[in-house]
Amino acid sequence: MFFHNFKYSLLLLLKNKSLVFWTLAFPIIMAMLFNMAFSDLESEDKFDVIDIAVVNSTDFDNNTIFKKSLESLSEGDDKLFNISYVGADRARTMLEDREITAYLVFHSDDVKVTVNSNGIEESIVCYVVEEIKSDCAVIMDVGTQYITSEIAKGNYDIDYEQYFTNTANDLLNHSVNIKDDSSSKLSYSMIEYYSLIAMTCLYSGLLSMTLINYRLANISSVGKRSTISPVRKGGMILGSLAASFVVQLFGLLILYLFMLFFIKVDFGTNLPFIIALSVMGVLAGLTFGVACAVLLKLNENAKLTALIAATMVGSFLSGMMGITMKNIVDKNVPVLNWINPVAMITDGLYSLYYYETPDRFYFDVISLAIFSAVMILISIRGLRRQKHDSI
Amino acid sequence: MTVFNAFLKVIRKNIGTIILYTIIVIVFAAVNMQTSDNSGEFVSEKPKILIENHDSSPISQNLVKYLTENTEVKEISGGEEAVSDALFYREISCVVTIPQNYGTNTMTGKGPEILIKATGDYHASFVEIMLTHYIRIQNTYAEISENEKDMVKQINSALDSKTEIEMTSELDTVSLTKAKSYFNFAAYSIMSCIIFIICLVLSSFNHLTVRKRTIVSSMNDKKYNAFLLISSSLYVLVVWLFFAILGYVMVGDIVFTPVGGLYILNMLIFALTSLSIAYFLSTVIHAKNAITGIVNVITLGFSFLCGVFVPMQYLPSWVISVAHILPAYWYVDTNNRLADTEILNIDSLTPILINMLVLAGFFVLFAISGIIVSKKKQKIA
Amino acid sequence: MKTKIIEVNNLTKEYKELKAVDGLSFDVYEKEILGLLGPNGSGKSTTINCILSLLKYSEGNIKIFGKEMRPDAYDIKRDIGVIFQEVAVFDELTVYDNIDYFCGLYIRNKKQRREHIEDAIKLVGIEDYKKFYPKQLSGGLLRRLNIACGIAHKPKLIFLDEPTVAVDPQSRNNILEGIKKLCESGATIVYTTHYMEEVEQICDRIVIIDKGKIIAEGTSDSLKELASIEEKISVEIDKIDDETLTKIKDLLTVSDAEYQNGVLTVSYKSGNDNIAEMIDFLRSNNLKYNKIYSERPTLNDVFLELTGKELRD
Repeated sequence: MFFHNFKYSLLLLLKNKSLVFWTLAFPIIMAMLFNMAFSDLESEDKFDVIDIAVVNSTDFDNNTIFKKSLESLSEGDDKLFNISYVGADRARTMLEDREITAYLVFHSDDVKVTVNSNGIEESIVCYVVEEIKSDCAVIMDVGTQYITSEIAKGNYDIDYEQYFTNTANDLLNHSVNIKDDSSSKLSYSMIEYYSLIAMTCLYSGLLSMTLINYRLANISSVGKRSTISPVRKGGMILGSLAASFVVQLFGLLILYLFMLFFIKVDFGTNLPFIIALSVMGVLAGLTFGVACAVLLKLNENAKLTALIAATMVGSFLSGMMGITMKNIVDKNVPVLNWINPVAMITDGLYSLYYYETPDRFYFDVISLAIFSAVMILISIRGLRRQKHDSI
Repeated sequence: MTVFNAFLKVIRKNIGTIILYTIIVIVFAAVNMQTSDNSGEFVSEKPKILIENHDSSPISQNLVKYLTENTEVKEISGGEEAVSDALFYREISCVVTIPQNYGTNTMTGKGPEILIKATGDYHASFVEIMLTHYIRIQNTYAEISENEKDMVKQINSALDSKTEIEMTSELDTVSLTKAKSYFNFAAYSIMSCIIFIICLVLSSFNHLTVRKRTIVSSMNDKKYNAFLLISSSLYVLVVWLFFAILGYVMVGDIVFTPVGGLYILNMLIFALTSLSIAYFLSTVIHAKNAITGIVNVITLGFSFLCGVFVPMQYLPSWVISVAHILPAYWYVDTNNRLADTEILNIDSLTPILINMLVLAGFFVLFAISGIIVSKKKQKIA
Repeated sequence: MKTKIIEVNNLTKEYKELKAVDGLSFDVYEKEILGLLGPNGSGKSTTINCILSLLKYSEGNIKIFGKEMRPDAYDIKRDIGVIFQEVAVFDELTVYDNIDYFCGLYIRNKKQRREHIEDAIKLVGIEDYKKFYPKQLSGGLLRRLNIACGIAHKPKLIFLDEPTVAVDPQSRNNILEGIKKLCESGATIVYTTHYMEEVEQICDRIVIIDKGKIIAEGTSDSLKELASIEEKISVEIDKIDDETLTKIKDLLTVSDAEYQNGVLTVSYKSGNDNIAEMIDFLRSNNLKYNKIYSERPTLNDVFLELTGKELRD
């Protein structure tokens, strides 16, 4: 009996075009869109060379420290600036046309920065200019101190020029011991892909719901036929669930293959865990679909719409349309995460990717298991009622 | 009247979907509209960081003081994991750890190690620039200073330099950025509300009219279509008005400035274009249950590729080139241009008007395609 | 005495305000075709659904094959076949697969199942459509498929709930023939309809229901005796004056006479040779008529008599 139901459930799912679309095609389409939209996101956010201009003037030519500092900042592989040396009018038009972030005008000893608006690049330019200025101050200060002490010692034979140059070099090349211990796994778009996987898992609810509707006498006419047959509901539903499970796992497999080989998403060494988590996710989705099918007092279409909407809202809250959302929910309304299976799956995948320790991953897996168990329990309660008030 | 009633029926049936899209736009716009004051003067942007100081010497305290002045120092409660999370979600761009005995080791010239964990974006690089700068000066003075107090004083006086900064633009960038992000994101909700509902209505009428055509005269048929057109337009206007009012609620008075007017006009053209897309789709889509899928792919596709969800400057250039063939691109591009427009004159308005014309062109294109397709179908039938 | 297959005792089903079934009691005997006749909304489908334990009911008890019917009475269910009012098939499955699926819920043996399915397909006459999908079938064929799905497992007791609604005459005849065949092969059948002709055509016994109550029960002929008239004679006649009409009414066996739209309708309480008498009367009164025909009373007349309204809407 199980096999009979399983076979026909499989057939029913695969012949249903809109189900096949939602579970197999839609996630792939979304993955494609994500790939297009996010492929440059991180690199755009990475620090890049800033274009600035310096207005040519004799005052600038005389300001050796600035000149040298700016030169060194615009050289080499890790240069900070791209500097154009131009006239004042040209600099202004360049700024207006957003070709440069800022331009510098030197006037006697001082420098004026002109920017178009507030912003991080503008802030960096301003800071660096101030930095050079304070460098000048340090060189002057250190130099003066040295000279004063030399003179106090009675040594009047000082090569000032040489000394200041040395101090400047010392200062600029002073070794700075900063150890960068940043994680290499900070990719924003990973979360998007994870919530996509989570959404796909949850779409298995569409499959199980469709099949359960076929078993309910008050929802579909074929449900009446099933109900009057001499077959236990439990066995029938198990066959349906198994079929939904297989179809959705197949959908996930395709999605994973697509992500791995076409989009080249880096799942790292955790693939077995990821697969285990998504299997749990599919289970949560299936049971959620069953619970919705059994408990919602709506017609078939309204139920499906409700399920899709719930999944979409869940995905939104777990960061599919912008990961800020996930963080906001994590920090302010963590309760939502305890009832949102999409968030559990996304968070599990996230912790696998970002954290070395698997504690959070196991917590998410257990949450999913509890969620599924609760769904099963309330579904069984609903299914126990075998007679209906009205059909 | 039947037409209106049927319309209302479809809307009532899908009110949940409409509310959902409205909530999404509100939440999303709210999330993306962090306020900061703007007075036309330059305000340096401060990266958000977290400092873990394991040393208590005046030297390390001065470093903390310096960072506090130049960055926004955040407190993250919830232990190491919360800090890692905060880094991942860019709540902070950098964690700076000052080791034990930092002060003593600095004084003895050992150059103690500062540990940073950064996100690798502009803000993080900014913090690194600051740190490098400070430590260079600090170490320079460490070589010549006698004691920590002296050193701190010297460092601070050296760092105390101010630069004159001129800001050319006097735009109210905060409001304009807010407006831009609201109106851009509204594109998704407007498309969803209009295309989805109109498609449902038109496709159910397409079925109805097939039956009715045999009974009613050609005159009635025309009247029928006119009714349909009027009620769909009415619906579009209501949606537009709603999102315009919501715009006022979300971004405030800027809606009443000339630029705000252009934002709203742009939105109207876009709403109408969505209507004509919906009309075209309804002539092409046969199966009613295919509507949800196709509409979702179209609205999400437009939104991802045209800079609705992801700002255009973050999109790969080839995606933007492709996006030129999609109406949403022109809508978003107009919004982006409006946010940067300093003075409204012929020069600045020309590209905006061209964009609007292109968008209107899409309206005409889809309407005509729809008419051609439905005419062809009639002939076959 | 024949074996009772179904015993319905004082069945009552209440919706919020409406009593859909009101104290219904009746029995169904082995190998008979019982017709449940009643207008739309009279409670026929509700009765069937209660008997099948699909619906909760407020009062009464139901026995099938001598055992109490319950949702988990699988041994009873095994021998029941139901053809619902609405077509209950999967659009995603072919004709053959649909029958196979539903039959498979009853019969596990594949070989036996295959034979059963072929029999069912032959019975309803859809041999040429095995590989078709339901969407490709006409309304009548779809109904036949619906029936095949319900009876393929060769049940001993079959419920048919309005299986001929909106069906073309050819399919209708096919369906009615099929039902007769099923009965001949040993099945007991409960047939609900609001088409009295069908009931008269195939049913051994008839239960007439209105507003959830049984208003009459018996064979077609015994029910017709309930009608106060025995025969109706219609005469197509160009003109007739009131005086003649009164004369007709005064005839001994005539219960009523009416002239409308060029047709004179005369109802008789009883009668032998009524038509001959009528012809004599017309001739003696020198009345020219176009056509004259006699009808026996129908179940509609019985229903009209009992409830004061027509059976059809």
